[in-house]
Amino acid sequence: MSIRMTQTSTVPSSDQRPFGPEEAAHLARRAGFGATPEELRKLVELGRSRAVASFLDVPDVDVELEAELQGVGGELADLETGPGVSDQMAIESLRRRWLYRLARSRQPLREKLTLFWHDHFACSERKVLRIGLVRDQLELLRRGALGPFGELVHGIASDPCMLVFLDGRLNHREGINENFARELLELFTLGVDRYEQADVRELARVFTGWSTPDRAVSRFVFEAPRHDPGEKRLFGQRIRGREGQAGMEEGHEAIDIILAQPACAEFLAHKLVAFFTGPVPDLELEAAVAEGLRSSGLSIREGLRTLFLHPRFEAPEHRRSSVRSPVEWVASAARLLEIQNVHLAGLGGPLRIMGMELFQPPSVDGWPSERAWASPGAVSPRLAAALELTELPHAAVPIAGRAALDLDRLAGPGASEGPSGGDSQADPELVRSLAERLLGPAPPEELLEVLVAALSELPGSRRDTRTRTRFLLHALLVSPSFGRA
Amino acid sequence: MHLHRRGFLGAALGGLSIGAASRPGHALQRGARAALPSDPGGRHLVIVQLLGGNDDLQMLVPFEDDRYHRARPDLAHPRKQVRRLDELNGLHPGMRRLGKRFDRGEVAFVRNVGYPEPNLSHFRSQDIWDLADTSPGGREAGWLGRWATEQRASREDGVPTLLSVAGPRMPLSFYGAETQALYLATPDAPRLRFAGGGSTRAEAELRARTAAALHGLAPEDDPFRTSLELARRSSKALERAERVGTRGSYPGNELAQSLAFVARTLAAGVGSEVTHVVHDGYDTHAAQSKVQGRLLRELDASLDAFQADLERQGIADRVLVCVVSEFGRRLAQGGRGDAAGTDHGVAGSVILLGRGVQGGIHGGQPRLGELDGNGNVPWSVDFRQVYGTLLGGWLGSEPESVLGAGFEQLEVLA
Repeated sequence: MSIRMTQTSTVPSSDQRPFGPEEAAHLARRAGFGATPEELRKLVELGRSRAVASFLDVPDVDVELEAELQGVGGELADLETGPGVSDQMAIESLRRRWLYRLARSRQPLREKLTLFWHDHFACSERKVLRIGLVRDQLELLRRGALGPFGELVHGIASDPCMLVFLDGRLNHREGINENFARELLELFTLGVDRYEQADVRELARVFTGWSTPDRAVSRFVFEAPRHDPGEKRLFGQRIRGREGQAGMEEGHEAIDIILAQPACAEFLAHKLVAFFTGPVPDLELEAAVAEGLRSSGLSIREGLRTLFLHPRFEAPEHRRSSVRSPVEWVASAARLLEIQNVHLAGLGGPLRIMGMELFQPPSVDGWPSERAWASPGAVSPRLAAALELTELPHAAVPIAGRAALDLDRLAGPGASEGPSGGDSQADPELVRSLAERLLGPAPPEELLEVLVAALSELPGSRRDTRTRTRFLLHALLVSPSFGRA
Repeated sequence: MHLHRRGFLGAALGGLSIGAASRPGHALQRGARAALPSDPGGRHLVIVQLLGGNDDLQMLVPFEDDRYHRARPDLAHPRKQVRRLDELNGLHPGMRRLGKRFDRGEVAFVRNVGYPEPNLSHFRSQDIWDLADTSPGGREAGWLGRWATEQRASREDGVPTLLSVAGPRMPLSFYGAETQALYLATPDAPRLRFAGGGSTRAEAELRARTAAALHGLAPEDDPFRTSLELARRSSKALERAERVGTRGSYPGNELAQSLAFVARTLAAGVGSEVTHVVHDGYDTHAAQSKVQGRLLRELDASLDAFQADLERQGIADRVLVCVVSEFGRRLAQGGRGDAAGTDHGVAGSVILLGRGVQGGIHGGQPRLGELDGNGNVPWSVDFRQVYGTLLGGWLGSEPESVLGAGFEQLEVLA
């Protein structure tokens, strides 16, 4: 006992609270897309702060995954750019490759944050049209997903995709276009009502000349002749007007003024807390995360460390409170079912019908709040999508060019005996094992009862373990429990 | 909690029928329509939301006002090109079909619509319109959600009271009535159909029943609890619309396709009381002449095709279309030449279309000489007066309980 006391005094205070399978599963659902039984065991062994670090402290690039995607052919081939590739082919390729990363990356938090930033800095390819620009923006978001927020904002201001989407490239000293300036303040950094119309106007003047050449591929240019070299005032601070190429410095100066507004850390904390803990407001957690952001120069990594280690993060009202967006739902399903060659699983159509086509956010405000994802129109397509996934062919080892499920492995030990995958496992055990895989530890008893009851109605000819497994996986995927993270 | 196996599943949803084979393209026989359950015979309201802030000064043009021409050297329609409605006003040249209907008294414009302390943010302004509240922070239920909740519980025939077709999301205006509201991401009823799946019909039913039972386990206030059941009921009802097929000829644009679907629900007797559709792209900061020109031509052709379809069905007198947008745009143009556009503004126009309107231009001329500090045209009609008129004058309910007091109804309905 005394030894243990000594040990705990040397580890961060967050590790004094218990960190069992439930807490680990909660972390994995929030910081990632859930954990398989093996992943869950590892997280529990790590303990809280090292488990959190395993999501946060990752290299800038998942080298192995990118190597897998390099030079791969077939459906996963990089068709994002190149001669003879139609825009439709290019955007589909970009979608498939992102879905592959969402389902396979060893950096699930980076991919989840990339989705968060895609929603935050929402640009639609339907306006941008040039897919190379869309791809480069995604890369900017993925690379900067965990870094200093300032780097993302400076990057997005000169990002050709954004310059097209919010008309920045048309902003001219003799024809001011406020579109980007307004959204930079309202949606990207401070929030509505945290600025005056005069600030929008001045900021738009600052960004005159930030452009991208018309048909060029993804290139930023500062066109000094279009720039308004006069003095500007932003939030009461003077920005000295500059002639020539030096005029571009004003934009970076303005962004730094915006980032230094106290509202910026609060705004970012509010959005991150809502995304990672769900719809129940938590002012204490927001304040802590805002402080974590401020004290680290708006480091997203450190803001999130504060969030995930804070006792409020695990509060009962935040557990299973978020409705998974369709993309999160699909990524979680693909990971927990350990689907092989997931890019071939035909998920593009279901995602479209569920109302979440990647690179087509409905507006610069991004996708709807989570309430909409539980509405009737969004729920029923999940039945069809779950069917696509659970009726994939069975394969114990991956077969090139084919999406598949290893049903025996999913059913767990005891099911692997017998010629057809074994029929030895009794219904209640099978139900519990699959429910724990998809929903985490200690699934609700009444849910298990419903599933056992349902299984008992399957006809005798459909009672082999693989068929029962498919049936149960489908039911679990469409359940409201799996619909939430 | 102990439950009998069969009892539990059976209780969740008895007699569920799912996965009914569809017959896409199966044309409705002439006699078959009579066999369909009769429409409640009530009135229908179709809200068309122009997303992005429609520049109404380019749509309903005060062509005799020199200030309009001076402020918009690259945008203003020359006097000769507008489709004249009266001595002061004309329509965008691409809107001749609505011009014709205006002459027949089927179109009412309400001009200078806005609200106190205008907000120039798209999202905040859309929220204000959808919640019918200028300080919407505390409200959760939209104005139509409040109305639907007040009206009644869900319709017995499974038809949602409020239907949103092909917008970016369930409109905030429907919030608060989730059990009576359906959002379809695409104007395509078959996609709503349940896919129970399995080797037999019995197994497909078992799957759907299991899903329903699992949704039934959700807490009372959880939207999942009711959403699947509403989706199931709605899908059965809307399958009838699917069987009707589209009559009339609609253009290919997304708004027209949404309206064509709405017309099918009405033809099949499964029309919702209020339907919401969108037309996106009106945020014309740049290249406005080209972009808005295309949109207004689409709007003109789509509304005309819808109206013609309703006339052929003989139900044109029971349907009112109301076209809204979150704000108008600034008087002065931004940018130059073909790139010219306009920034977010304040006052806008509402279009009412149907046989039930009092045709004309209401709300007065835009006061281009009295711009506010940001160069915006001032508003004079509160949008809640328009809503109040729709609630009181068309849907036959009491506007005050939904909107609060003080919004005088407008004389725009026949």
